Amino acid sequence: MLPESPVPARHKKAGLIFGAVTSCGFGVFSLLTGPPTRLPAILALAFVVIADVGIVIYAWPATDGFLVRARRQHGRPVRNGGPGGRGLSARGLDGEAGHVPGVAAGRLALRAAAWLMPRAAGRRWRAEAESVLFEMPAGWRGRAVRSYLRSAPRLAMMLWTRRLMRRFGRRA
Amino acid sequence: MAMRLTVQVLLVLQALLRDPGRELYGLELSEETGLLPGTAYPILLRLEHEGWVTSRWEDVDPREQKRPARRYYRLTADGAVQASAAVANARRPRGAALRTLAGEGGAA
Repeated sequence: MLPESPVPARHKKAGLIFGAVTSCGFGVFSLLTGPPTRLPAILALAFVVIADVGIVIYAWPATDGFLVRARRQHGRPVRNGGPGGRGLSARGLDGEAGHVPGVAAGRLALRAAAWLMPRAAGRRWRAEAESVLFEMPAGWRGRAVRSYLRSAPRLAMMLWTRRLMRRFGRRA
Repeated sequence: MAMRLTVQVLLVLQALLRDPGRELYGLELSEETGLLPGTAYPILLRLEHEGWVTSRWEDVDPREQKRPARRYYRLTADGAVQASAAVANARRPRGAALRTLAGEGGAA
């Protein structure tokens, strides 16, 4: 949870995303212009990219989802709330949950976090999260989304470790 | 791999043990344990991998029900035995510590 401060949430979020993108760009630039591909450099870059994805995922629900609102203000359709999307929106259930600040953005973050996991496990995690969030009282959804996102990196690690162990265990 | 029995894991086990035959879904479990659903999910997944818990998607049409299908969890027969033992074990040291403290208090 980001600490309370007088800095508006959207500025915090913009700062975090700017930092993540800058460091990611710097990492790629260093790798391309530096000595030919060395394993430590690749590992460092992988770490930076993973950390940055984590920052963006964390920053997104921690704030008020201003990017979603900004898109709506400019008259463009909001993808995860409009018809023809996937998940709840595709089943025509999205509107039933009602709009809660941060939760629409949280859904995008859930989708992004699910990519960190093995495909089937990520789908199941996201489907279950959406199912629980749908039935949850509106006031609790923001906290629940954050709890899902906080546990996602560790869960992804656990699932990948288990999967790799199973694969290499079989071969050994 | 042995299950690491944290307080959160014990809370989930206790909730499932209240009625071992009953199926609980994520929100019910959250309400019964006081854990956020994001915290309960990895625990349930670990319990499922260990064979203590089994889960299934609810067989409903989301359009008819006007809500997404729920994922239901319940203890397996083996899981219920192991969970009861684990919860009982977790309670025992605390009781012993209290008796020790009471004994010390009485002796003083």
